[in-house]
Amino acid sequence: MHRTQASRRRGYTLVELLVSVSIGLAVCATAFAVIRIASQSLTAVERLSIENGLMRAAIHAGFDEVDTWEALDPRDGSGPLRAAGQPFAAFDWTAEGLAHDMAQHHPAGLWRGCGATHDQRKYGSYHVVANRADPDPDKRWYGQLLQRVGDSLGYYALTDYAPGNTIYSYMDAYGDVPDEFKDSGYGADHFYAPTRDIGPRDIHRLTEAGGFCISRLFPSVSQHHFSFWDNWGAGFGALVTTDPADPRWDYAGIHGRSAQPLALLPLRPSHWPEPTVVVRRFVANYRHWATVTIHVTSPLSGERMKLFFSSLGTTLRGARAMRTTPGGATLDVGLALP
Amino acid sequence: MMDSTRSFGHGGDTNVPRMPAQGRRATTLFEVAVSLLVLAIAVTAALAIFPVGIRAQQQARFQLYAGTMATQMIDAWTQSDHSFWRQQIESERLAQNTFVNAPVDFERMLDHSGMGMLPLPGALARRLDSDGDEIARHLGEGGSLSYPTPLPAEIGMDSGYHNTGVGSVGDVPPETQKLVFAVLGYAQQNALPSHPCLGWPYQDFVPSPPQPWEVASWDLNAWPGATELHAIVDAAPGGVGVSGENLHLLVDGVDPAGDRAVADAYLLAARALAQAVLPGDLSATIDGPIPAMPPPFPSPPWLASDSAVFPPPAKILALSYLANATLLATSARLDPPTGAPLPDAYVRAVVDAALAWSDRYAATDPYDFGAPRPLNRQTCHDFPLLQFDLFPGGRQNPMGMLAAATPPAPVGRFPPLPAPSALIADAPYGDATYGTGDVGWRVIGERQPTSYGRARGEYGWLGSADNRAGTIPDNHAALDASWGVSARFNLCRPFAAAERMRELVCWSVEWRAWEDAETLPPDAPDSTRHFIDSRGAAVSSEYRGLHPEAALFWNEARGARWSEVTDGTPVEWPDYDDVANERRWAYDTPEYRRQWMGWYGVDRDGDGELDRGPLPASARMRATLVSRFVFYDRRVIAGSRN
Repeated sequence: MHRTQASRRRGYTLVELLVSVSIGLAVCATAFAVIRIASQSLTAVERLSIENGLMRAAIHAGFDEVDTWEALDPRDGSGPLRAAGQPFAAFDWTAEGLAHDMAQHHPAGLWRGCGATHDQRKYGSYHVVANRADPDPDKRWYGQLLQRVGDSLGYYALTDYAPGNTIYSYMDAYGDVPDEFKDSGYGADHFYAPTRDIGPRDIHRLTEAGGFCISRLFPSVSQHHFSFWDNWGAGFGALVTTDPADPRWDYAGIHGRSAQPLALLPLRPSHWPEPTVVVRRFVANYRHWATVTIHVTSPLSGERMKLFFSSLGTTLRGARAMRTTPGGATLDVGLALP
Repeated sequence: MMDSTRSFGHGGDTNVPRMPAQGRRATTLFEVAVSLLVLAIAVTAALAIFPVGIRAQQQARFQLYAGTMATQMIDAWTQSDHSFWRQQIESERLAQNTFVNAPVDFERMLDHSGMGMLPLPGALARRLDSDGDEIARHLGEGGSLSYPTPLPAEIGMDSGYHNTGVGSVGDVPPETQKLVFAVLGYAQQNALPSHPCLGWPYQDFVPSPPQPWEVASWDLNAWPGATELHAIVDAAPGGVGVSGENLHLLVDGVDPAGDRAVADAYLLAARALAQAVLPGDLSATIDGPIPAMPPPFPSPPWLASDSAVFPPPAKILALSYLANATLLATSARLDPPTGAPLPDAYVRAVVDAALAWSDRYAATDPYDFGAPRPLNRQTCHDFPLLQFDLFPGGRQNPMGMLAAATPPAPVGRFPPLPAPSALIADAPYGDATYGTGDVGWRVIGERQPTSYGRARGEYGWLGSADNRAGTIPDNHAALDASWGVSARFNLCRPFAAAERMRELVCWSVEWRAWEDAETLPPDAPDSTRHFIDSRGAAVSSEYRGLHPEAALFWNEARGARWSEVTDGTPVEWPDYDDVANERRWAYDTPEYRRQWMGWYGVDRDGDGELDRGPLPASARMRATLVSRFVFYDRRVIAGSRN
């Protein structure tokens, strides 16, 4: 027998076997852990990627709506805001001499009332100087603009079209300021909030702690003033509703009623996070706003993410210029683009 | 069959000894260890890749957030003329006016929650590392970091307005708070909102009765017709006693029997003033004098002496008074006129002329500070371009270089201020021996303004007349001394685009993970946010700049915010009502300090709960660069739309 060869072919010892098994188990455990971590990481990356993609899509949708107003008023003219009194109704600027370009230096833009009070006969007969039925077109333009645009397109549209230095008040032929344009009470057809008579005001003072909005879901807001604070009645800074019997026209009301949700990914897989995009348009606290609020909610964990931003965008006047009536006519008849 | 005794490399020589034992032996343990090491390195490398992927996705998320936040900031900044920044205030002397609660500058406005940003405390910012130590260098140069507010202005309310956070929905703490922002690059010298001692432009409706500040300007500038003007405003026996402060008494039925007589006297006096100021422009008619309308503009260039292009302010004021008196004669609240009423055409002609001249005056010369700008139609020319003269010789020390030898005994931290009903002469700023050492810069425009009078503001401004600290003393001489060298005015000079470029830089870092992220008090706000001078006297604004984080300050128990506590609040919102009327005393009380200086920390994530992060304050964190936005840093107040 060649014992040398025999000894070289001997089997593994128990120690070697144990070591081998241990190493094998360690390799397997490592491999399992690696695969598990890899799987989790991939899942996380994929989830983040989907969330990012959704967030990106939501942001783009928000910016797109801020620019196009498509969800608020579809270009095919099928939306409710094309009705009379709504901001996308057709409007003839040639009627009653409104057709000048509304440049701020135009003589018609000189306001000719008494700034101290809404009572335009208290300190003199101011309607003698200018009024809604004045024979001079430049002196009736103010009243026509406020009354006709407010009635025909709504209050948000009025603040959008009127020159930035507009005083929102006018007199009828008898020297009376219509209730619509003074602090006369609650409800529809009141451009002013119901406070004390502090006289005719510009956009700055009118929208301090108040404002106007556009809504497709609640078109009736077109001729309403939202008021956040009662500056003169309950005390400056007091958060109140403008109408105790109807709290819709307050601080929360403008938030709810100006919301225009966008349909984003309606056919998404059920396990994808649910994105909601809401675009709001309003004029409040001295300026026009277009805001985008995005919520992304995970259906698995319930986690909510939120992104809010405001942005520059197309004005209502620009949005109307993008559109035509179903017959192909422009919405602003006789009004040149600036 | 292959010969098992042959093998490659041996040429088939069967005599070569075989070496099977060594060639087939098992792998050694060392070799296995090396193999495992190689495997471990490969696995580790593979594992390291996965976080990179996650970080890349997180970075992509932050870049989305940074882009939208930058959009929002620029949106607010480009509409800053449609915000309530409380920029137009005035004080007696240059150095008194801090003036810049919310200046034109983008970087300074980041310190205002109206932009959706709040200042990150320096103690937290200094714990951040960044590539190239960019954050540390920025802080070292006096910069600061800002973080997104948890209460964004979602309903259009400027959340900086009263700093209440009103207008925010705040339903979910924004993930954007993982971002911090800074503005890098050299700041511009921006235009002033107005002269620090004269909140010009003053504005009024045309027609209007004489206002006290207009009478003061008239006298200070020695315009013609002063005697006739005083015949209007002075009380009997010398004059009619009509002014913007008491005209309502005529028509409110206080003395119905005498109303018509006073109104008629006012009309006669106003006609006399117009005759004194613009005799050549009046046409006599049976109903009274009618002012001529402005002629068409001549071809440029326009001479400064051409009064048809640049009408004198006295003419504008006289026409406004004449139109007011004419209209008042037609008031339905007065007794019927004894004679024939004024014809509508006459009234209309007088008022038309007053409006037309006022409109021309406001449009042609922004540097004439004599007559108010007509609110009937505000124009861009209403606001003159002014800037500080930062060049040698531009400094001024209007408050006294040295402290008084015997300074007034302080009340709290401040020198004594006049009692609520005291006259201004009793105030320390009326004491020539009292100096503060405050230094201001002189003011320059494209040319030095003319026809200015004096400030009309009041120290403290808000409250009943008895509670106000008093009208700002006549500061006409201080205005005279305030002008620098107009040749150094550069707001209208051509510039290279690169001169205006700055960077908005965004980093991501979870700073809320520090244990003291919500217990750390805020940094002391810049004193320029407060409209008080170095003695604690309020200059002419009702507003005291609260800290931008004030709405989120914890109360003593750190269980609620002061701003949400309705009962038991030591000091109510200090801008209004009773507290405002007693503002000089409210400043320096323990109650005020503990409530409105953030002693107990800040609810910086806005969730209403005190959060303590896992990281000790001694730990440092690395901020990862997310985005850089280059923007044009304008120097003037401007807006992007109506």
